[in-house]
Amino acid sequence: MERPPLILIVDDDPEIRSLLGDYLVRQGLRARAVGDGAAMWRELEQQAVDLVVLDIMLPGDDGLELCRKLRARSALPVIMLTARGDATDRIVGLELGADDYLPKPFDPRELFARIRATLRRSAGQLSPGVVTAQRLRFADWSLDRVRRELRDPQGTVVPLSSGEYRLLEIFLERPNRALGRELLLDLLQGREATPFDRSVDVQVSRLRRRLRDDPRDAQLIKTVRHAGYLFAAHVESVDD
Amino acid sequence: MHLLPRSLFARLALTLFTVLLLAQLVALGIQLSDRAQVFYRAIGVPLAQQLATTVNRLEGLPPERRGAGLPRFTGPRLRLALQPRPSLAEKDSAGWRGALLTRLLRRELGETRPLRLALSDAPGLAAGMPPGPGAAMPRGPRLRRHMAEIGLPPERGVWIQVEIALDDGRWLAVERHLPRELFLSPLRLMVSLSVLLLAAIVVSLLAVRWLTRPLARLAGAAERLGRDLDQAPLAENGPDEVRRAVGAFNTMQARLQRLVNDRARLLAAISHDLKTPLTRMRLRSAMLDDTALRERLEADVDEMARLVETTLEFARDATGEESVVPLDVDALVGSLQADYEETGQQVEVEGHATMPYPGRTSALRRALANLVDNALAYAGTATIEIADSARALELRVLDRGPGLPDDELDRVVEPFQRGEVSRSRATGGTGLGLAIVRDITRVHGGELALANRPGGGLVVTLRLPR
Repeated sequence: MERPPLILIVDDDPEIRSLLGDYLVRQGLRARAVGDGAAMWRELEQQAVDLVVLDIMLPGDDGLELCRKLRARSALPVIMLTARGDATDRIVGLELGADDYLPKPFDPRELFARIRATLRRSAGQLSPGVVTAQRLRFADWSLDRVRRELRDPQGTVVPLSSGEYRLLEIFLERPNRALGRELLLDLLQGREATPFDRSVDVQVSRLRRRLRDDPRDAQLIKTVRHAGYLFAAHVESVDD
Repeated sequence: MHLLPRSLFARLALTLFTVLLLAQLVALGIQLSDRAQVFYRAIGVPLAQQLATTVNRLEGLPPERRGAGLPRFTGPRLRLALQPRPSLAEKDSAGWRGALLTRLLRRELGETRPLRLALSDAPGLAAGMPPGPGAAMPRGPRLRRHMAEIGLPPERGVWIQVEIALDDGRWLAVERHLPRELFLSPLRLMVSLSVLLLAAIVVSLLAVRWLTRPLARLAGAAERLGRDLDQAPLAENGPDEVRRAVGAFNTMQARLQRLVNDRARLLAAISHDLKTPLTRMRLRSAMLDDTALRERLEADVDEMARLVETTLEFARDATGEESVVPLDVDALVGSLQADYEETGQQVEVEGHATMPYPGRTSALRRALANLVDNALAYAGTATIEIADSARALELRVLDRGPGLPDDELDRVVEPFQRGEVSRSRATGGTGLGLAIVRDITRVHGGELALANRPGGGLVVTLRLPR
């Protein structure tokens, strides 16, 4: 039987370290916890860590600095935690290459869901360029994944609900492939399980409206008979 | 006082204009009276004396020799003739000059001597008046011809015509040429004075504008202060008084900034320090096996977390450093609706925006969410209305809840204020939601208005000028 993924928790609060470790173990993961950057590097040398949960406020090198150094040497998935709810923290964290971001006080279930989703993404066979790219372009539209900002061809920002955003990201990571409804539902729920998930069709029709894609003559999100949906556009990353 | 214009610029301009106009009128009066003086001294008095002398001399001669003696008295600009009766009208119409000359002549010739006087454009009072030497062509025939050849008009002027009764019953007709310049109407003078006045007005308007511009800048900065406390301090230039006012304003702004920043730091520090224990509490409760206890505990923690979050948000600038982007308003409202739907809450949306609105996405989203949260909490339903025009974008959140007593409509917008007990106790809340909405609206240059709806319920309007 495969061993559960090992999560390394880096947080300067001992209580949170042990509580979070216990919680993740309860959820069927393996967890180790350390209090600063130096301990983190030691731990990474000794263990085959699958994902790092990294607090931003740390003694010595702070979380952002550690994240940058981690990125410089490996593609190890990182989820950042911070007590400051600032959008800037999120943006900086994601720009430094963190895979996800969660503000304190986080809901442990939410963190667990994101750990699962991040692990699944990093294990997936998706083209890594598109998956990690911060800015994507498709059919004159652009999506800034750090700022979660979709712009139409005229440059107008088109706000998305979290469901719409998730679905668009899923499509953009898998362009020109027929995606079945079950796969889409699974991918949609991967990140944040919500008790009131509408059918995939409702989500798709909403996203079509945001993309001004006429459902009777869809150009971007095409309906594939008996198979689900297909995102018909060339997606390119525009990272500099 | 309401007759006075309101702006300093207009008042200063009006004052200057009035003063300049008065000065010009006085100057005009002085000029005109000077002209009268010149006429009186240079023309009137000598002419009257000359005529009196002539009359006296003529009357000293026997009547039959008077005609022959006339040429002796004629000069280059003076022609004389004797005639049996007067040819001028009794009542002269020679204006103030005529009246002045008449008065001078009467003084010299006696009040009782019949006298007639006129001013004429052309000579020729009495037929057969013998021209004195050069009288008809005061500047000589050569010059005159020459002037005609090169296209200049012949010399023009004004002739004073006087008829004086002599003691033998005949009348002495006198014609005296006067240079035309003496008779130019004051029109030309007035024109030149008006030009001067106009120039002075233009220059003074510019000067006043130059003087009041620092004040206008100060007023603009004061207006903006409400929206942007961190605007750059004003340059302290201009007249002393203005400079002092600007300096005081800058100091005030700096103090306000300190005050606001201190408050924000305090709130942020408190809220921030609450986050670590809250995170622990969440982790602890997640591991509780007693489901009922866990859920209650989680609800408590959630409420505290919300409180901390909104306090932090309020403490931060309402918008943070978020930049203004052209925004698809329909998508903004629609995506918000979708987010509520994902948590099982129904929000209605009505109306459409006509064009993108330049705004801050997260801030506006937060504002709408706060209002919808309120509506859902107090009424269970919420409708977002979009009303768009060229002048303003209006976003309204409507509910059919209990509404608010009129005297509370303004109060609830203040930080840490909540609606009356009936509304707040059951539903909790920090008392910051509407204050945040108001801040966000103001940052967009808009206004927040609360009103009770006919038929019950509350409507909150974000009016955002385009």
